[in-house]
Amino acid sequence: MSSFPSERTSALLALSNDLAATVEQAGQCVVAVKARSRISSSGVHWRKDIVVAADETIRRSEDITVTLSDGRTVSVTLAGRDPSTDIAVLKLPDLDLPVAQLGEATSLKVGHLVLAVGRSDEGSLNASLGTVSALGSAWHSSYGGLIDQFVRLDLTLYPNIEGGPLVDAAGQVVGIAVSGPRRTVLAIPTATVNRVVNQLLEKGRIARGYLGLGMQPVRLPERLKQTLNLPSLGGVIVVNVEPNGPAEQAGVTIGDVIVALDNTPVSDTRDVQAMLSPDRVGKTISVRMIRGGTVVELDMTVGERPRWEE
Amino acid sequence: MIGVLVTATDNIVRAGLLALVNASPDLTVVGSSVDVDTVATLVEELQPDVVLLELGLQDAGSENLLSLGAIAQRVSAIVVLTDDPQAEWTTEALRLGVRAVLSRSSAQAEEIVAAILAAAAGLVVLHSDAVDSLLGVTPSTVRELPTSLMALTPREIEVLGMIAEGLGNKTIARRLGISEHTVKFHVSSIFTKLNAKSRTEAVTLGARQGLIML
Amino acid sequence: MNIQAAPTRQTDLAAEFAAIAELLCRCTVQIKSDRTGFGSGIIWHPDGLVITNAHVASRPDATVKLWDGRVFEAAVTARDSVRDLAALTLKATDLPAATIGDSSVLRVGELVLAVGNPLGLVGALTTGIISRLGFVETPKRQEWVMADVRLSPGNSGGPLADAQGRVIGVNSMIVGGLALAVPSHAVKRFLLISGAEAV
Repeated sequence: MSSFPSERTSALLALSNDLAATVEQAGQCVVAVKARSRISSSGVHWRKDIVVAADETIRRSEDITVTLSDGRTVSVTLAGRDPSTDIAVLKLPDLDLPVAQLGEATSLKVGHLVLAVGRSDEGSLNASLGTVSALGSAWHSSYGGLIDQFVRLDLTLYPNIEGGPLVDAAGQVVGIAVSGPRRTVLAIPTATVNRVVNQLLEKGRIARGYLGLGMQPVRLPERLKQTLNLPSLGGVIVVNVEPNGPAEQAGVTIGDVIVALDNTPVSDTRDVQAMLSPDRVGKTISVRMIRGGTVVELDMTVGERPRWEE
Repeated sequence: MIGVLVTATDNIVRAGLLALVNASPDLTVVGSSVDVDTVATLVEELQPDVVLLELGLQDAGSENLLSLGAIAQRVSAIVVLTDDPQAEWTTEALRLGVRAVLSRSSAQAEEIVAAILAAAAGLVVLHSDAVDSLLGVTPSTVRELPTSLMALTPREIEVLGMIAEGLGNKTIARRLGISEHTVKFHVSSIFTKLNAKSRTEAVTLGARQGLIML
Repeated sequence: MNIQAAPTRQTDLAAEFAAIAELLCRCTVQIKSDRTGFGSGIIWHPDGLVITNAHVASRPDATVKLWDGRVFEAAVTARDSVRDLAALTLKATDLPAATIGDSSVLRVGELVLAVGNPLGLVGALTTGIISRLGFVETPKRQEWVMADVRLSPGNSGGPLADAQGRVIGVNSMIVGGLALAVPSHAVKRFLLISGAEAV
């Protein structure tokens, strides 16, 4: 165990000892996850026998194992996954493994020192030191997931650390460290992980908003944009409408070009996907479309994506 | 005269590369090796100007980056032939000091010789196709209707729909009454046709073609 | 980790960083071995023993420049290109030698510091933490100290020090944003085996 700094110990040595002690302490709940062919990733023992990992590092649904601190490899099952929030939930057999000490990402401030902790597949701890570089409010990922807080980190996320805990100065786990778009490093905050884990354990998957439309992105003529005073040249044209689906019930037909949903401009199907987060199920949203050369506005109630019985 | 050390695990590939180097009036073979592990030591002994290194598809991982790093410390010009490396791997290789990354399957003899000469002169050589992905212009940022992609078969559209539901291969197989092996075959074909690297990406790209309802 | 935000603590940190930077600069040398540029080295013993990477000292002789500007001609007395270490001897005594630390008691998360001559900027200090310890195939399976530190080629052969300024590694290469250093206990073994110094 590390020695506790006395008053005469240097500040640098104290900082160094604190960092090493924090890694060791937080590392007790960290496992290596082997769910892809090359580099292993990391996971957090979040609750008893539940390990949370980064969904994009889980490349297969069977033959997943985790490695513990003593080097032991244990088989786990994939209990559920939500690519839209980059969270996967693995079920462990009954083990005596410490559970993560959870904190809140809301306590973070820009400039705070944070550690991303991981475990490599032969069992040893890894760590990366960084700072909180940006904070923001709740945001939707491009796959339609709702993430409770925007947390961006200035930290090198080595591939095998991805999915491991983000640890704050108090030694608490404030989220899991994942790679974001355009090579950024983000944290999925504890609040989001708890919510998604609850939903996945209860239902096996996350509810997704659904409109019942097949669409393709289109580029509108400049003339039309000007005449109709549209915010952009983009839109999506409806090529398929599900009978009795939410869109048909609202009055959308094939050939309609949707340019905005809930007042947010839409120029690609990805923009539509981003709108269909679980929190929008059952909500009424406005739809702005071009039909026959004029702008038409409708209201549509977002349904829930139909699910197959396993 | 530029001295080249040739490394390739495959005997035929190595013979081909040796012949290519020998045929060029400006190049000479100073040695050859069968694997990346022995190259670092050989470089010490033979002091080549350029190392020509062929890496198989499975080799373009981070483990080989460390070996490349060891070689890069001892010789300034390395020319790598590999298949379809990820942009991140290429970027890392360039950072380590690799001077050229060419496609193993499609590089012509003249291109390889040109790359060796350029690398020896201190230049960096990349194929123009590789530059796009390095600069971050990935297929998903280019908003075009996929007119040139091959159409998915009705069965593939069905499987894609189930992938959109989040179903795993085993469940899809059970649902459709086919073998899991056949499902994997369909999934692979879907990925290729849509140019997708993951199931989530396949769903997004399929949705963009109107094949998946949102 | 209870980092105090009180000004006195921050001033302590800044002052200590500066003190260690100076310590390390004194025992770091610049090495020129052939036409292809510079690397760094560490004064391992006051009697003129300098340690660097084998790839930095690629010829039998090298020119070594000290922190205070003094220049010496040095001879390579031992090399291990697999471990990437080389020992050089300068004809000098009473040189400012590094304090060597025990790399076998290092812990992941500890602070480490490096100085070097990146891009000709002499004595630039960079800091980070120990990210990983243990064996990696490079290609031979060897033990490394891996740190989350921003190094550049000029740092090669130079010291990696702990929070007390003791040298616990010799910077060897950078891969994927990770700096790999030869552990100081491996340097001791190299010196014993090569007979370059009776330890």
